[in-house]
Formats: sequence, C-alpha cells, structure tokens
Amino acid sequence: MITRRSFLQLATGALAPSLLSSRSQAQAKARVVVVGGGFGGATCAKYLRLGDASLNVILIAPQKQFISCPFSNAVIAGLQPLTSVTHTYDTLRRRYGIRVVYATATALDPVKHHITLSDGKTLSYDRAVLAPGIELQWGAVDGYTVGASTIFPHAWEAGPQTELLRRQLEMMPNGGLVVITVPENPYRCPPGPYERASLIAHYVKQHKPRAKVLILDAKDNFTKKELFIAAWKELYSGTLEWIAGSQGGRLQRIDIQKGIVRTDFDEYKPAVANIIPPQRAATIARQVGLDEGKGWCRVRASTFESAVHRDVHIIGDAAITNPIPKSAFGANVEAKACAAAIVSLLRAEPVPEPVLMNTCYSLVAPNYGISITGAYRVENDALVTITGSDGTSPLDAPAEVRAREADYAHSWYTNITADTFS
Amino acid sequence: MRSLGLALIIVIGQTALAYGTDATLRRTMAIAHVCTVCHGPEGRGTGAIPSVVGRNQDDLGELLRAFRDGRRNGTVMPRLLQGVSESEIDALAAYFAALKPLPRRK
Repeated sequence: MITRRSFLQLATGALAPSLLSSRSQAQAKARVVVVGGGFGGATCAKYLRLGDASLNVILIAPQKQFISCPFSNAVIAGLQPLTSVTHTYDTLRRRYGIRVVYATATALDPVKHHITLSDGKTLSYDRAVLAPGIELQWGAVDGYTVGASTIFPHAWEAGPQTELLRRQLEMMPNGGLVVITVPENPYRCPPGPYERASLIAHYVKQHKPRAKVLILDAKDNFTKKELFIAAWKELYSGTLEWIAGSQGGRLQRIDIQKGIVRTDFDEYKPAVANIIPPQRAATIARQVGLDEGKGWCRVRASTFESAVHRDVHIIGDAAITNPIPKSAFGANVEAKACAAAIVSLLRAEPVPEPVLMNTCYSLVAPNYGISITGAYRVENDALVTITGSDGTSPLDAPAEVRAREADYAHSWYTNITADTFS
Repeated sequence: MRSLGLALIIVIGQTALAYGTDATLRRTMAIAHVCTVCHGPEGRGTGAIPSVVGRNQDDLGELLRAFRDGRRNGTVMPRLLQGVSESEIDALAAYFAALKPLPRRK
C-alpha cells in the first residue's frame, strides 16, 4: 500500500539520489537515438531521461520548430495563428539534458547499430526509436505531385501548407467551391479531415455564405461519423456536403492545369482544393525492410520494438498500433510505454505492462466539440481494446456538453504540448 | 516502505517523476503518465480540464471509482477508467493528493 506520506517524500525528492552522481556514470551508460521531433519522438526523449537520467539521449528533429497538426485546422479556419501550434525543443534540451540534432535520418544499419543523418554524420546507438511520422505518397493520386501541392495544398504536414490553404480560403470569392478529398485508411489522424471540413464550413458560413464545402471521400465510413453527420445537419445544412466512396466520392485524378478534380462519377472545378493524399511511414521507417514492403511497421505490443529488427523501436504514425489510432495522444502514450520498456531492457529487467489510452477531440465549430476514446492492453503480444473503454460523445447532448468538450479540446492541447515539449 | 525507499526518483528542476524500481510505484507512475496527457505535467494542467493535484486522497479515490463504476456522469473519464483496478485507483489518488499546485515560476 502506498501512503500519502511516502508519495510526499518521493514528490519532494527526499529519497532522490542526486542527478550529479548519476551523470558521473554517464560514460558507461547506453545511448538511445530518437528519430523524429513530434509527439512521439519528443515525448520519448523526455521520458527516457526521466526514467534514467544517466542515459545518453539524442533527439533527431528535422527543424528547430515543430508545428503540430493538432489544431492546425483551427489555423486554417482563421480561428488562431500558426504561432499557437508552434513549439521548440529548448526546454527539452535545458531541463532534461537531451541533445537535439537538427537533421533528417536518412539510413539505418540495424547490424552495426548506426543511423546516418542528412548532414552525412553517423550516430551509433544501443537502441533506436523511430518516430518519423508519415510521408505523403506522391503520384498515388494521378496528377498529384509536390508541385501540384503548391496549388492544391494537402496541409497534412503542418507549416507552410497550413498557411497556404488558409490564404486560399481568404482569397476565395463568395460562392466558391471548397473540395476536400480524403483517402482510404490508414492515414494520420482519422477524424482530421472531417474536423477540417467542419471548421472551413464554419469560416465560409461567417465570411462567404454562398460558398460550399464538399468532402470527396474514398470511404463509406469514418470515425465519429454519426456525430459529424448530425452536427453538419444542425450547423452547416446547405454549406457542407459529404460524398461517400460508393456514391462517387473516390478521387480518380486531378488536373492542375485545368484546375479540375475528378472522381469516379463527376468532375469538379473548385476555387480551393485540399487534397489529402494516401500516406505511408516516413522513409527512415521503411529502410532495411522495417515495413516489410507494406508501408507501415509492425511492432511488438509491449515494447514497440520492430517485429523485423532488434533494438529498433517504432512509435507513432509510422507504426501499426491498431486499435490505437494514428493520433498525437496515441504517439505520446506509445512514447512513454516505449521509454519505460527501453529503460527496463537496458537494465535487463522485466518490461512493465504498458498503459495505453487515447482520446481524440474534434471541433465541429469553435464551441462544439466531440470526442472518441479507447483504452488498451496487451494480450498474446497484441494490443486489444479494454471492454467498455471505447466510445464517443453521446449522439444526443445539449449544447453545453458540446461547448464543454470544445473547452476540453483546447485544454487537452495546452496540456499535451506541455507534457511533450516542456 | 523499504521498497519505496529504494525507488529511483529523478528530480530535475520542478519535476519529480520517475519509473522507480518498486513495481507498484512504477505501475502507478505509468498510469499517472497517461493522466498527464490531458491533465498536464504532474497533473497540474491548465484550462477547462481540471488539475488533479492537491485534492483530498479519499475524495479523489471516490471520484475515480464513481466515474469507473457508472455512478457519476462524465465525458471521457467513465470509459477511460475501465481497465484501472481498485489498488491502482488507491495508488493514483495517493500520488496526486501528495502533489501540490506549484506557484508559477517566471
């Protein structure tokens, strides 16, 4: 039994060995290289150092700033600035002693335990954590190239693309058509396209009331579908329309020259087109067979170690973690479970049972939030949903419940980014 | 309490969180680390989602049990607590009750 008093002692550090003494042993300690500076990578680096302050932890981040996909839809809708979703690694370096290297990992050698960086340097590791996120599959949609994305933005990696889509919406004439195309599963942030469509509909209803928002979906079903459809009927009737894959929603090709988006059944000439293309694990996670040629990486449930190569762990969007969705929340908790597993494995101790949960909030309007949850455990080295933990906001709920969940969504963002980056 | 005395705690600045070597403590910390995603680092979050630190231990334990057992309405908490055991709830309540809200630095 843990008493209040014993926790007080722990929390006040009365029993804590000094950080200095553990640092003096650092030379003999293991090096963990974490690739990727998002919710997975940054969280893992931090919790590795919290788990064992003597570990040599190197975080490879592609840029000095991280711009999050969560709440980038609110930026696109003009509700908040891009700076509000922009974070740095300064606190992780300063407070936790994480070495941050700004580069991209280009190659992995699982035999020599080496990672090669875009600047040509090579880092050795005792254990590597890959949290590189996704890569957009250029060419998977006929006509959709890197060049085409400067005209029809994807905005599925936040940053300049987010701002481009925002500008296009601002410049769009009243009466213009906004088309959002959604790929088949799996892709990053399952409810993201529908939140985006909702918030864009909110924007045009306020500022360009004759404009229309059209979702062209490859699928017939999506997460929180009943809740979204009901909310759209209530809030955006006549403004927002969703076309299912079987009803002609599936994207066939785009023609940038003519500004045309073509599906199985129809052709559209939108004022603004947001093409969310099919995705796969980022390049570094598809090296040396890590994805077995399938685009995403199989991992062991308790440790998130690759099913293909030893001493390489893969977390976040790049990994196959069903039933945990490809969400920021998922990446954060996978990172903590992975960090705890690595600390144990390096000490040759038993790996603790991971604690894994997820909540995805979506804003349908600034004061209208909905959510979906799940909690998970490991059974026969597979992740399974704990009975009764999965579910969504109720279909019938008063406005105050929707408003409260919208407030929770904002609070969640503040708290998860603090947990990840500070 | 001897095993707790062996627990490895790392104190970095204001942070007093670690995995420890004691199995119960480690399990408690692992669960608490998931709480912090929404409730903020060390449970001291800001905004509409309530901070969970500095409450009465018994009250917090009872609140978590009431959510889990369907005696109290909530948005996400009743579902997320489904896999959490009696002893884990006790330990979580003890942990968060022991933490105090911090005065804002800066």
